[in-house]
Amino acid sequence: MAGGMSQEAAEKKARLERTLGVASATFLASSLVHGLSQPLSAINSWSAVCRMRAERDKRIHEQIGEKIALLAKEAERATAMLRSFKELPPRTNHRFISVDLTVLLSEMARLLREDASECGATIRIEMDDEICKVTTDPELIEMVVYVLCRNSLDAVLLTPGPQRHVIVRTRTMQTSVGVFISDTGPGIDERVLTHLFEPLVTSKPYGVGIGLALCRSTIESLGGRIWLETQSGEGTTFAFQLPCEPANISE
Amino acid sequence: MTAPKSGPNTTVFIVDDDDAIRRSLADILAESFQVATFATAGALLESLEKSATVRCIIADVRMPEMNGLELLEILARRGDDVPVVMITGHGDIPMAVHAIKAGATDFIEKPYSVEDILNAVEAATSTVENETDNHQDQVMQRLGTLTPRQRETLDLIVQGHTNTSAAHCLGISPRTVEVHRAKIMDKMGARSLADLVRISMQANR
Repeated sequence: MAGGMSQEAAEKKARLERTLGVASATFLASSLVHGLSQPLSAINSWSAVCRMRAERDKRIHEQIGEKIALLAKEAERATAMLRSFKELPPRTNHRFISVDLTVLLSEMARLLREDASECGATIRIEMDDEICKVTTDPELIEMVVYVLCRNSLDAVLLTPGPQRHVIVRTRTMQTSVGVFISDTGPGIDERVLTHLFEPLVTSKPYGVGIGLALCRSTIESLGGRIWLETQSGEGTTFAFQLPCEPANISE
Repeated sequence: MTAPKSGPNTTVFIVDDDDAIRRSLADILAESFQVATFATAGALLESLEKSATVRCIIADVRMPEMNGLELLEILARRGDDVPVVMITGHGDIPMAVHAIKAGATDFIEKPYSVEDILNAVEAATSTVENETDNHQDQVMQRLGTLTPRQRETLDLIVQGHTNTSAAHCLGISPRTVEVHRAKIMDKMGARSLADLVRISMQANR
């Protein structure tokens, strides 16, 4: 494709970026809401306890009654703010259909070829089988693969030119399929490794730390799991595994 | 709160694996009730067997080992009808509906205010009288006053759909769902989503 991406591919990529943008914003908002709601509930209760107890003692009430009331008011303001994220789009509203991962991954590699060449890298697919069928939500899988491949391309940029490769492999097992995305980057620092899938943890200098957390939440919501293997100076492989037929799809 | 400090049915049982939530709930409720706190549902069940003074249970829905729904299941199997107020994650309507169907009296979403907690405990301890008001034929009669569209909306809501996702299913705007919802609540005589779920379960009995 000497003339760059076809219009269709460009549109598809723009659509992917949009899906990713919405999913990231939703994920970040719901992580914040869930993370803050426990401590905030406790603060609400304890400031009410302080208010009640202070009211029983005139001297204490005069000294700190007003401050306690202010504290309670601010906690309520934060509570109201979190509650205004009233209806975050449901995280489990999946559209499960039968998907051939071979087709999906080849298309993703094609979409990312231009990004790869801008990085002076190659992106290659190595299929375990000709057909790799799985019942899942293709839009979400595309999003995850997109994020992981983009991460891999960022990683290979840190290595000298001729060794910049990203390889996407599949492995079909009896009841599940695995997708492995390997890069020839420098590997990931051990210090961030254990928390890498948590929100706001990143190993990139300008990263925000949403991508991998979003990937984990997405893959787990599809009934799968995600993990990584990394070796200093050798590269990193991100892998996820999906059940061929997810249990309780309707849930 | 005018509950007596001692005597039968005065103790509020609190179970949550989060230390701050458990202890702060205990402190606020201790202003009006006797309280007993537990870090696991297993410990609560054990103590419940020995206690005759429980007024209601406040339980977090997500806990390691035994979660809130499993706790409800065990209580139901034992035939124990102690009111249970379930604490759910913010906006987790499907889970909340699930809990009500499994026998919870009410649910509170995190982050909650002190009023939410006190109102829920108050309401939970007075539901026994309310429930007898809703005879099945009365519920059926009320259902009959809903328009077909309102009936569809009700079905989606009690399945755990949010306004947005119900709107999506029906091909109408979330605002319209909200209007339907208010009419439905009014016609069915429900004060909360928990009420609505319980009333419609009665219709399907």
